[in-house]
Amino acid sequence: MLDNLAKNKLDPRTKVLFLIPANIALFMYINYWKEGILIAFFAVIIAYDIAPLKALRYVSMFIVMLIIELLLLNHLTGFLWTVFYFIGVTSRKLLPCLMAGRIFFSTTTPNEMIVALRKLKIPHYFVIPFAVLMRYFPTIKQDFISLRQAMKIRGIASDAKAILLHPFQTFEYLLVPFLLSGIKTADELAAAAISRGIANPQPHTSLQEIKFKAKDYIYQVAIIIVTYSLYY
Amino acid sequence: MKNLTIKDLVTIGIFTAIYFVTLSVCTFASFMLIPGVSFMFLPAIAALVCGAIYLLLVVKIQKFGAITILGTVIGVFFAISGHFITALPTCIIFSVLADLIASTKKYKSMIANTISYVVYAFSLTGPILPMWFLKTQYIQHLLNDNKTQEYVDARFVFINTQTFLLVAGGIVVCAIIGALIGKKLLQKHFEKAGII
Repeated sequence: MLDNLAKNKLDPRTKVLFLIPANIALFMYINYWKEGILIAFFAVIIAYDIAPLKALRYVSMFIVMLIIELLLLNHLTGFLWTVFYFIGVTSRKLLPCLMAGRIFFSTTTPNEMIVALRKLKIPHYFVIPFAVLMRYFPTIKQDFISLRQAMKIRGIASDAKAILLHPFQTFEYLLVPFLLSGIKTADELAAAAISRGIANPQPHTSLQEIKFKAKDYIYQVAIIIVTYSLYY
Repeated sequence: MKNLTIKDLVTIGIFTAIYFVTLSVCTFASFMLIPGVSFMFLPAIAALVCGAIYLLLVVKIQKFGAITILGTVIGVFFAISGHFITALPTCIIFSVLADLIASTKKYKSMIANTISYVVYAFSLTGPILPMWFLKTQYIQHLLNDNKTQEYVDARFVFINTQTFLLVAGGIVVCAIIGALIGKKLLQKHFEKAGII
């Protein structure tokens, strides 16, 4: 708990609220100035809560995309126009959503997400698979690396050329072990979880507290202001 | 959905994780191969590759709710990680439909499962939907900017209803092939291991 206070973390539910201005900006057409305000809003949050360099990256992406639309797009037609339209306009409009998503996933631990879901009274049919997904996901990355090494030793899909020549074989040898080990893990994991009381109908407790603090309210007010400014 | 045991829910979670990783790999691969327009073909590519995962999940659980939860959790992920919010209802609607279709034959018929998989493959089209009204908005913006209608037509020559129908057709074809590939994989590896 002291840990939470020290790092000044946001409640995950507040972070989900970031999606509101980001998505509204897609529904209605906003001019370049409003886009800039929205991007600046998210960039400031990323710079403050995550890392200034990441914020700089997003801002420079925005500027490059804007330049593509304003300067490059007029001179293209046909297929090239389509490609650069997607890069310069469509992706740019989606950028605030992407930044909101990045804020959420970079600052929230899986545990916090699960506790937030429970607090929102989401039924356990969704919380348990979600929790398993969040916890099992890093394991898959590890397994993938070991799997690639084992494949290299046996000479299967050892380099890019082999992958291109035998795509089905590569695919088969990658996917099937994951499915097999996944099924085995599922049995063991379920037994372990049940023995730790996951099936308990009483409310579950958690070491991490999720509740709104001062910082949450400040951010929520800021979100309301930004959302309102999109309209006028 | 009440008869899903804890073991079922954990299995669904693990399969969702594998599915999600496969999806990420597909996204990365298609981004490398067709930069710029890759996300329009992503549902088709994913449908081609994920057949085995889907079919194995259906066979393992054989109860209503497995596909629904898979689609919904993936949809929530899409919505929170930065795709447009329409990704979530799209995922939910198509995965519930797919679940209902497969449940009509108690999850045992290969044909019903294949049709279910085709329907499910469309749940990944959520992120593509903003293209529709982004296009309308942008055309309006161009016209306001005193561009002519011919100018607009010359630009949007590749993004129109025909393209979308082509993409949809591609998804159907890839999903059917993906289901067949998945079935072959299941027969080859999992029947011997006694899991089916």
